[in-house]
Amino acid sequence: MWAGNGIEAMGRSRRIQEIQEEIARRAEEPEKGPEEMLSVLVFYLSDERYAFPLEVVREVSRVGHITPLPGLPAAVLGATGLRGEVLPVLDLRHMLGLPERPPTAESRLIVVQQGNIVAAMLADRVEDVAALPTSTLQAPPAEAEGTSPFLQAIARRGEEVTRVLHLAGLLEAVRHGG
Amino acid sequence: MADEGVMALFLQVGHSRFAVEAGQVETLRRKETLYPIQGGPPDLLGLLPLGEVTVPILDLGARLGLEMAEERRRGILLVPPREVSPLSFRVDGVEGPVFLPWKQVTLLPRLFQEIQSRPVVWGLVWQEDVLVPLLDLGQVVPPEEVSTLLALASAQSRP
Repeated sequence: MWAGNGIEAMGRSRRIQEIQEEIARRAEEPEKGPEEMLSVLVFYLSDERYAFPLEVVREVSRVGHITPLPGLPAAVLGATGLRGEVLPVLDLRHMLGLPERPPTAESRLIVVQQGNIVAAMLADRVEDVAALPTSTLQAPPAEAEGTSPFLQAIARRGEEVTRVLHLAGLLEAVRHGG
Repeated sequence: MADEGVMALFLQVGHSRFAVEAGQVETLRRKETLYPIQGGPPDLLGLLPLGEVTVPILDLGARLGLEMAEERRRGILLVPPREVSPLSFRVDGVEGPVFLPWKQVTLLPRLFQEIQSRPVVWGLVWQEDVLVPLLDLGQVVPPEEVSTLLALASAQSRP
């Protein structure tokens, strides 16, 4: 029964008051949308996990014949043909200071584009597309000074570290001799 | 226009293959005995008297920074027209001339054009799925070094 019991009525009104307060508090809070994500293509060089933002990735391809060209910086492996298009192939290992390693059956070319420059980056293995919560992205640490122009961010999830590469920085380094 | 293209010679240089526009080669000569030259760079093989001039002969592979492990006493000398280069180059083999339709020839990707210090490679030839660099023999050696080599050749060829 509604008003048969004064204590019950008082309890109910307190509960309503609490609900009203909660609604008011939430109305004042900025609306929380879904968490912002950075879509990336994850790949490996040795056992290190790297990524390019998906917005700069055009496609992933098997490694075809790479023609070395004389007179180019060491970071340039050569040129390759992909469906009638000639692409420069860049050596990420060299740029990131990792030891040389010849391509294997798992190696892939990641075709990237920055403005009107298109290039293929040689990766040991391409994993998949992933979404990194932007809240997990950190600026590259100071100790990575040598490679920091090439790093856009570092994402940590537990023990897993993903280094998000900065394509513009990599291309700029190649222009200045790699 | 569709049937136009470029005549090219294909060069074997060590394990690498290159192409040059046929007009960049005036004469092909079997490698002969060269006059040794002192004080030149390591890729300078010697001097070859050609008519009234003495031409410095460079090892093309060594000049291009290629690994040149094999025997280099033999080979073929490419003698360009003087207006292309006053130097000559030793290669391991030559094929052609071959007619290449334009669709088989492509310019270098933009990034390469930006980073090449000199346009030693000006294009690429599609052969099946493989790309063959098109060399400009006139750009292989920097102009200041050409002058030095010619002066050296001139000094050593004087009686």
